[in-house]
Amino acid sequence: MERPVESELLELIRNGDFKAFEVLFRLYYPRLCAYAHFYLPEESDAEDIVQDLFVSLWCRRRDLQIRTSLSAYLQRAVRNRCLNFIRRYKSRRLLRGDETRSEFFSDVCSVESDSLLPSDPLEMCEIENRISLIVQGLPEKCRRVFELSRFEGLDYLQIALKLGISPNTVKVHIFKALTRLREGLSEFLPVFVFFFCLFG
Amino acid sequence: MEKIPEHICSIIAEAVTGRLPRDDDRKLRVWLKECPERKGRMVRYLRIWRLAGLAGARDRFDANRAWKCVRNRIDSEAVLEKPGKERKRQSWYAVSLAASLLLGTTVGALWLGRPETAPVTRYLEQTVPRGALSELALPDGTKVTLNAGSRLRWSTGFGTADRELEFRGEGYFRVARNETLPCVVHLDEGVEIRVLGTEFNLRSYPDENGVSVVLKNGSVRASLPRHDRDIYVRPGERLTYDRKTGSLSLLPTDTERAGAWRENRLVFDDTELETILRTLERRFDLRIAVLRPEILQERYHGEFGDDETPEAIFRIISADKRFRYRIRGRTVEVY
Repeated sequence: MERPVESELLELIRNGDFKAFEVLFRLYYPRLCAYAHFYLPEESDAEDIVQDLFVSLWCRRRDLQIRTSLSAYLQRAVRNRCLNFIRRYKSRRLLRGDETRSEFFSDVCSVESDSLLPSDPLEMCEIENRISLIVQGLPEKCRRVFELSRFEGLDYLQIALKLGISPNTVKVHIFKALTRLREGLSEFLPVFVFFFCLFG
Repeated sequence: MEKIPEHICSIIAEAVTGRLPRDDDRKLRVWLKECPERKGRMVRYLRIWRLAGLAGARDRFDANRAWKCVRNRIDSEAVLEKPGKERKRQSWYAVSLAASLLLGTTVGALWLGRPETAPVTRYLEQTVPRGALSELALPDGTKVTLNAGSRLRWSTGFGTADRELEFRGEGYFRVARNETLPCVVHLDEGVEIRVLGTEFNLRSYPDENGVSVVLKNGSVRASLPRHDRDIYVRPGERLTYDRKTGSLSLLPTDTERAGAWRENRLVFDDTELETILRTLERRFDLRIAVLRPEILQERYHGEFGDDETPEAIFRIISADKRFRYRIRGRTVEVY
């Protein structure tokens, strides 16, 4: 279902309304960056990809064919760009003969659906607020570990060193935070899990 | 719901962060396979992890700063569309304001467009003749060292209205950082290099097929004809692109060696004789005639200090008898 607000925005943008384009940009930029950041470890790469997408969106505004919601379209575009980036990155890693990376991550990436972000910006805000509340409500150490891992991109060994705790404790904290979030966000997560083929 | 064993909890915690060692990866897969319901739980944890990344996105990703970049890029692309197309039809009026700043270097000003039409975009350019090197600073603080036989051209609005450069030859660029106004270097035949602030060596002579970018630091994005996607170059890498075949490669390299020409040193790493000879022509202002073209594809390694003469270099390169040579003044015959 297409949201009326979104379809209006899209129509204005098609007609060359730069102001409408700015509204769209400001609405989605941080969220799409966060989404891209899941695929790409570097925040700056994530930002580059989302900025490229918006520049190309404006340049192609007259020929845009969007059949799903705008939000789903943007997510799909970001995801495709990220996967292309990863593919290039991987081939480069091969050239360098670096360590083989875990395949788990890329397996999940390659089959994930595009619908992580809700198509309604309001629902998105609600989720964001809810997450902030849950994270704020975590026990102090657990919150710190979670923030360092999720928002600052440190791995568990780096966190262990930084906070002076054992790596195992770090993992326990991460899992605890995950569990709390799962409980707190249950209504937003589809009960039916759509890819059983995932690890087949 | 079954309780997840502790060691699996800790593997899941690692898995969501995307850095799972091979061994744990296998353990997790085995555990997931044992019961379909577990897969669902795992997927939910991954989704939560992703959703959690949304929180605080507004603080972590600055939409204001990014919007300025995007708006500038859209502006500059819209502006570029027009003069780029008209440029070929109009003629260049070269007016030699020629003031020699450095020995063997000329600076001239050029007008784009017919003299009677206003407003006119004025261009400045610096050319470096054979046998010389040149250094210059652009209005935005960008510093460029130009190798022999190079030409750099920029508009009078450079650094404020745009940061567009037209370039051919070889240059070592230290581009001043300006995130709102990316610097774009236009090379022959539609190759474009886009940077924010970075240090890199760029080689693109019109008489050579190869274009090469060696990045010391920062990041560089190259748009290449025949390639839909831009190529990102990272520090310590060399991007080479063949204008004739369209092939490209991206390999780790020694960035110091790529800039050795600035100290008048010559470095050849698996370099074709054709490129070596052209380099020598420019470095020593020679005319080299090749009588046996089939030898041009031969490859050589070698390094020469700043005090080597052409005679000494030819003696060393030809030591393995793959070719012979004769030097008469500034003319060399290779056969």
